[in-house]
Amino acid sequence: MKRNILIPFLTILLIIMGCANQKVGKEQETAQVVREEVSIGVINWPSDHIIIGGIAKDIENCLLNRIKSHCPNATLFDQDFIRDTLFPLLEPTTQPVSETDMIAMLSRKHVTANLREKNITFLVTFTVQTLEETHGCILPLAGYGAGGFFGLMWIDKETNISVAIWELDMLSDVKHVTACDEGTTWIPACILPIPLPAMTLTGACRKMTEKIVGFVKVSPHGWVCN
Amino acid sequence: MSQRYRFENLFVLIIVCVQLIASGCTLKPEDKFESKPIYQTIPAIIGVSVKNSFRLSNYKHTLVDVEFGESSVALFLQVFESMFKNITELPKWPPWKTYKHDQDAIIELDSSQIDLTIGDNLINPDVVTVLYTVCLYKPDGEQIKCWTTQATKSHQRILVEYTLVSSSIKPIVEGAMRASIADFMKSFENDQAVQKWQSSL
Repeated sequence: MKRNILIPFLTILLIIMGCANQKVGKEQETAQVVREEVSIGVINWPSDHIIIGGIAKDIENCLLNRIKSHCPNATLFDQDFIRDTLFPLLEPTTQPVSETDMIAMLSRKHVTANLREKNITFLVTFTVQTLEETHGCILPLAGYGAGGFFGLMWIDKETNISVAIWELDMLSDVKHVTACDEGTTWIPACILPIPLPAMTLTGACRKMTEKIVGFVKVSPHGWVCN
Repeated sequence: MSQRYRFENLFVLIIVCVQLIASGCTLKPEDKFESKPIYQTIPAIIGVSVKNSFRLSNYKHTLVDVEFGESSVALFLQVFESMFKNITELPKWPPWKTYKHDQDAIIELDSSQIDLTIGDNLINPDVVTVLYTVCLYKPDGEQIKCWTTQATKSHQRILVEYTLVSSSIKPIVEGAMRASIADFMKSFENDQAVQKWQSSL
């Protein structure tokens, strides 16, 4: 009886997930946007030419969520929105290659107009890098009638986030901040390997958010952040 | 029927259902920019011709169909609106090369191509390559220049995205389209043949 209920339920769930999710996108983002006095755009710059998603997207989402929780009155724009607003100037093949180029790009008449139209006050550009070093080993072992993986591995991880904060009224005065978090992922194996991951991305993101919020707080728009 | 045999049957049934559901989805990439594309407008009146092969270029796969041609045309038209003072889409018939034109030039969307490699949810990413060819002609049909631009994007699906092939592919298709169009705009802006044509206007 339970199986009879489970199959149609799974089928309906997968149909909804498989097809309906295509429409998730700009309509939802636009719907969430409420015009406020301070808007912050977060983008990964310089961005990867080929890979979409991955660690940079995780950091972007983390920064957006945490900044929002500290600055509930600020409007936040993700990088898809910013790239679309400034198309084609922030595409991987056309993006500025240096800070001087970035300042020149942000000073262009149409760019300034498009950003002002969205009321964007700050642009937060970030890069992220994770270094890993693996130690130990896990070996597959088999005996009479039994087998599995045995051993111990640990991976030292270090995540670095570098951020440049561009206040659009004072482009020459760009602020640079960095945040780093270290940790070790442990993988003990006794028949099955069990990874105990180090959450360095979350840690570095938390530290970085505090620094960004600290900067916004001392600006004339500081009232938007707790 | 043993308990284990029944469990295996159920598992196979679920896998078959997942594959059936994941198949046959049609993906239509975004065909509108949020804001007007940024470009220093050229004071020229341009006729736009779209080849049928460009418009009908789609990708068919057992897991997903990508309706790519129409969306590309819509994006290019918005780009041309930003690039030129005035644009007019030329009729499909008669062919534009067979009669005289009042415009300063004709720009033709010549060919488009999309290649899609569906990966898996472990180590092989989904990879999309988009290629466009766009040509600029004088009103008498003489070719000024053609540009071919190509962009590749990839994304590694993770476990929970296994059944969401079409929604997982959508951002990389759109990303490759945008990158390729941006590349065209940059090439056009910096091209000496274009600057020579502009100075003759």
